[in-house]
Amino acid sequence: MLSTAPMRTIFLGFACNNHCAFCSQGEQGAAPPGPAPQREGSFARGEDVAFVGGEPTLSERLLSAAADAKKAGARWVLVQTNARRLCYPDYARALRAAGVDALDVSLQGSTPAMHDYHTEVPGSMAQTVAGVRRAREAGLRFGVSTVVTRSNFRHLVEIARLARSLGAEALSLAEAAPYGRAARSRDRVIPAPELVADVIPAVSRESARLGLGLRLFGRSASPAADRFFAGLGERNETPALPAAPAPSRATDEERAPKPNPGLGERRVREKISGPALAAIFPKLFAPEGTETNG
Amino acid sequence: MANIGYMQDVRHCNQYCRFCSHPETEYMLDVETAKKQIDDFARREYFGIILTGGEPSLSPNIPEITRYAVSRGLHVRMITNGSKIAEMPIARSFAEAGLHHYHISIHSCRPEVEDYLTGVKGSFEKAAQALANLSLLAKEFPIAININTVINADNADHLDENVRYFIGKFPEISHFVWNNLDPSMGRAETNRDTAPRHRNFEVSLNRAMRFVHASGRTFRVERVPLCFMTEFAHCSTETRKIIKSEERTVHFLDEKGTIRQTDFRHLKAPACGLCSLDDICGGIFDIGSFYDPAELAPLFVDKEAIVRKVLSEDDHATLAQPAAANP
Repeated sequence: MLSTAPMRTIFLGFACNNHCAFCSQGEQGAAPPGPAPQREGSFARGEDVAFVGGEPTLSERLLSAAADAKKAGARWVLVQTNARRLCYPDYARALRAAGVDALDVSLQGSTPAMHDYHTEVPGSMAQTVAGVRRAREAGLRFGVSTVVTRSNFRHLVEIARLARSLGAEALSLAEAAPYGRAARSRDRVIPAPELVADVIPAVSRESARLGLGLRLFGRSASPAADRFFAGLGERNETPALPAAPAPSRATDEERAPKPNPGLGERRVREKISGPALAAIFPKLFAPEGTETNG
Repeated sequence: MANIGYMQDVRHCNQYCRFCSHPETEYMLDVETAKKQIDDFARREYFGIILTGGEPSLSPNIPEITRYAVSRGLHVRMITNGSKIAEMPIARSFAEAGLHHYHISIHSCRPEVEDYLTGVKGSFEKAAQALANLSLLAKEFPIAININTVINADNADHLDENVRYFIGKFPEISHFVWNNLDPSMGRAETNRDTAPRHRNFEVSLNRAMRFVHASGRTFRVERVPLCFMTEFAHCSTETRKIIKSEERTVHFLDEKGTIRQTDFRHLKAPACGLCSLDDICGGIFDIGSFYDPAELAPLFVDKEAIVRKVLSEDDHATLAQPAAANP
């Protein structure tokens, strides 16, 4: 029987080893780790508990906190993670031994190039994939969370297939929200909802075919999927800064407005043809045998 | 290859479009110079020419220029606002001379928007009359009717409404061209509010492309980066020219004179370096001045599939498709 009570989320700090383009927590994950907030309090019997970050596996308190939760009778202990640290088999086994039941794994692409673009960490997908494999070997179950962006929304069916092939039981698609880093690069990151909506039916069909639970933008298409997902966690609610001017390959000269553009227009009654055109097209009027233009 | 040569016949116009990239000069192409241009295109084995302007139909030389180009084996098209084609005797004289392919420039199916953009009240009505006249002439001549639309801030939200309207009203239309506004020269530099944001036309352009494609018609899109038209990347003018190593030559009736364009890559943003389509994408025209590189997002789609599709299509057949051949 599934719990109808909301999952309790326990925040273990902003520190993260990915640097996702859409991260709602902004640059806080890159800050040097400080003392993590102590918000666990006491656990209650029968609770469903999710540890979130940042990247909670970077917190050395995770193992003991998960063990505490389980000892207190928590029924379901979930860790929201990029799973990179789990590529080390000892760590995956330690999580399971501490009482963690399942993972909510962040996967942002169906290919390494796509995923690593989002995380801005080369090689991160390879570690994530290795991590979920070690997790399964250790007896951990998992769902996959994908933040839908302009660069991955066309590939959601492929992501669903990859997730299932890795052993995921559910897939959660979340909106890229204009907070944190996504607020600073919203044009590059946040897709048009109308275009995303066009691909959702295919994802739903494919997930059903694969037997993959699906949670769409916070709403569960299959209630059993909910227990694999902890939500987007704490946002950086600081008002978004204006987008920094993005460097481009354009030169300053190319960016500058042209002076007096209206002067390029010459409205006259008398039209000029004949010899005057030879001055514009000199190579067309060059004597026979001369090199022509272009 | 389907290299096309552009011939500006005049640079004056009976409209005053807010985004015109080739505003008026005092020059007018005479028949002697036109023949030299045509001979040059024929020598270069170009597929055809496009008569443009200004408003080329204001030139008294169109029938003679057309007849000469046809005699040299060139396919002839005209980009026109339709104001003269709206007069049936003129339309017929062009058709009889061998001018059988028309790109009618019309930017909105909303008359008040069209008239505002062109700066001339009644221009929508005339363009619609031109489409009606060409539809009639298509029963006698192998006429291809296309629509050219400049994407701008005032039609960015209803490009899809445009195609539904025009196809519904004029089923003879076989092909659409969307040109994103060229802000680098001309009046758009003064009317800076006319330049659209890519994000603002992304949805309506995609719906328009899907509608036209589903109708069995064809289209091309110019100056739109592939991350805003991914599903139809093979229909990007720049992408096709890059893949096919095509060129185009424009004879401008101003001090620029003859420009032979062989590079169709505009400027890019840093994110483009990660995009799987980077080397077949034109990027953003006039980046940084009007258009924002921060709007570009990398794609991770299959480039080879797009290349194969471009190479498998026959531009000659597509571009010169007469109205009678359309569904």
